[in-house]
Amino acid sequence: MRKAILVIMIMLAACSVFAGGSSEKKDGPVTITYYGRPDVELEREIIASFEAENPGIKVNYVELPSSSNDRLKTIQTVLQSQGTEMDVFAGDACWPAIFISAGWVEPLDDYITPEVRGGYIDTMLSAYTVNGRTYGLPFMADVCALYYRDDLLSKYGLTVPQTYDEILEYSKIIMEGEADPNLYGWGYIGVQNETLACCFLSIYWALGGPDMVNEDGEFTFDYGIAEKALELMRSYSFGEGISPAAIGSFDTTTLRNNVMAGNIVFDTDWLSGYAKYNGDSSSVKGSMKIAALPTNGAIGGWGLMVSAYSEHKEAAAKFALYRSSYESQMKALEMVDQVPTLNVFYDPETVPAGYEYLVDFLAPLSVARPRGITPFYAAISSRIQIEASAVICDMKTPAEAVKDLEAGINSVIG
Amino acid sequence: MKRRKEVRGYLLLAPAALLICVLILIPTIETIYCSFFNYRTQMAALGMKFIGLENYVKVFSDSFFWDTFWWTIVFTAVTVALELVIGMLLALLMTKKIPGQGLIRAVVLVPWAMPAIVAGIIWSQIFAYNGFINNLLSALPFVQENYPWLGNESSAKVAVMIADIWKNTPYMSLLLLSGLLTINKEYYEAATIDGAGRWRQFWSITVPLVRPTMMVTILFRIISAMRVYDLIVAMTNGGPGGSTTTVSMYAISTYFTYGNIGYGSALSVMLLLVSVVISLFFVDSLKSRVR
Repeated sequence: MRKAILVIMIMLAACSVFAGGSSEKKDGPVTITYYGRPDVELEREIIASFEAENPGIKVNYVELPSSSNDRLKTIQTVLQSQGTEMDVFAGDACWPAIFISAGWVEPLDDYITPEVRGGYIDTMLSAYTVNGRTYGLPFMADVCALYYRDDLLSKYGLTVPQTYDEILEYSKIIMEGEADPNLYGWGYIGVQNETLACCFLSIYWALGGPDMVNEDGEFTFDYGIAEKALELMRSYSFGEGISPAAIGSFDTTTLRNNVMAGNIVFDTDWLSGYAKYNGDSSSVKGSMKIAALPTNGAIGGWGLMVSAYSEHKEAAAKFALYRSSYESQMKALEMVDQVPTLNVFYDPETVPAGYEYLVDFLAPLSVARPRGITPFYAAISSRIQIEASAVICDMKTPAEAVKDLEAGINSVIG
Repeated sequence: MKRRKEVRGYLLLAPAALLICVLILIPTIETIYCSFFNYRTQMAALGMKFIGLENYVKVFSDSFFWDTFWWTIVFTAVTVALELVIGMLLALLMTKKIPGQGLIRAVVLVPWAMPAIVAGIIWSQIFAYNGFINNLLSALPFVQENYPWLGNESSAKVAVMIADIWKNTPYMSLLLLSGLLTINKEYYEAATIDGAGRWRQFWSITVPLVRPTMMVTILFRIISAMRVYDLIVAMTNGGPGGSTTTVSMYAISTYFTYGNIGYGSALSVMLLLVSVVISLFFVDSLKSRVR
């Protein structure tokens, strides 16, 4: 018995020696830890070329989980414990406010030259900018855009709609003209998730809705306009019938399958829809064009941020700059179709060969608007998702939904 | 000698006790502790502010909490009851000596062995607008349009319950089977000689003898059904209109996604309290039977 205990104790001691070994510092290269998106091959290649260019820095890559919520949990857990084990990380465009207000991320203004700053599409950088300071460098762009059936618009002599009223009007003309019971005017992702909130916000902005929070940090969300936006969504499904009555059960796959089957004239979707709609399995290949949503579309995409608890901030910022450089973004475009954030990719003169379609992305990207630069965004958005879903699934009237929305949001920010 | 034996007993228990302390007890105590504070990641710089029972007062007046609470109770009651009935039928079938018995017992376990998130994705595709069920129904002459199964409150609720029953019945039936196999066959033989019918035998022999196993199984299932999370997240993400959001989903998003650690902890503690009350009731009823 004694022997057994002794063996266990020796094993425990051995474990602690190994665990402690890694924290001992030696002279030599600085090692930074990067929590990156799980595009393993791409990230490893970028890291290898970064390390080749910067022999003094080693990058330890930690894969983030596959779902966005789990990624936030992972990053938040490290930052909350003020952990030094994460130096630089990839973050969603709607998270910076959470980290900035908590003081968890480092401003990067000292590390970026005006040329570097000017290279980014303004709107993409705006998601990471609070009170004039930049806390992140976007490396992957995204925005909610308006897709349209170019063939049908030209058939009826219509132009790209500039307002939601025009979407309604043109949809009716085309639906009447085509007389196809499977054809709908306007589609979007209606299941209760973040994209539904983005779609709602685009309508809210188009109806004149102000930002959620103004420059002084006051909450300025307009519930009256929110109600009008919900009314619009509801009437397009139930009164006017240009959206399917079942839109509330449309997830990304369902929406995209219906667009690809040629059942939808206009639709609100992220940039990633473009390749699907114009892919080989799509019956509308070549005629599904992209434009800016009326007024504004919600910003998406990912950027790099440096932890305030990092012990190697300079090296971390250097890596962030490299990961968002032209070279890395080109690699990301080639390997995993990541949409770049630099102006140079969208200029007809400088767009890389084979990626000419990117030029059409510039219009939606230049009207991209941050969803809400408030640390409470995640909670507010989840309330919007619930109420918008309730309205388009015919569970509540817009007036009831807005009442619940206000109560819900007040309980979150109060 | 006796003392030495006791010491050895404690020593052998120590690793498990330590594990339970580190992995369960400490986080539970910390959650209860946090629930008395106003603590948000958005205001991490301000630290934690003690507010007593304020979070709990807020829980009681939070109408969304009550929506999620009653839905969790209904979900648990319906799924566990149906899992018990179907599980018992399956278990009784599996006691029959038929060719391929081992294979059947193994195959039945597949849904249970599948990660809940995968099961959720499969079922969301089955119930999707262009999914399997709508495709099947569209073959019927009187069905004109696809039905939004997951876009309607009642059908979405039924859909997630069906998915849960599909996933967890095997667990129930396998545990019940283990209970059934311990019953001595002589009881049935004696009952048959006495002229008792099948139905009578089931209620007078099978049910009382399998009861301890059954109670434990039901308890396990109730506790895990009350914590249901990934299956529903994958199927409906709590929609439509928040109607399939369970207490644990609400607590987890409040704690992690909204960064409201104090209130999220209070919501978790509420769920814990309900689970503890139910467990105590079951443990108590087990004890009285054993006596």
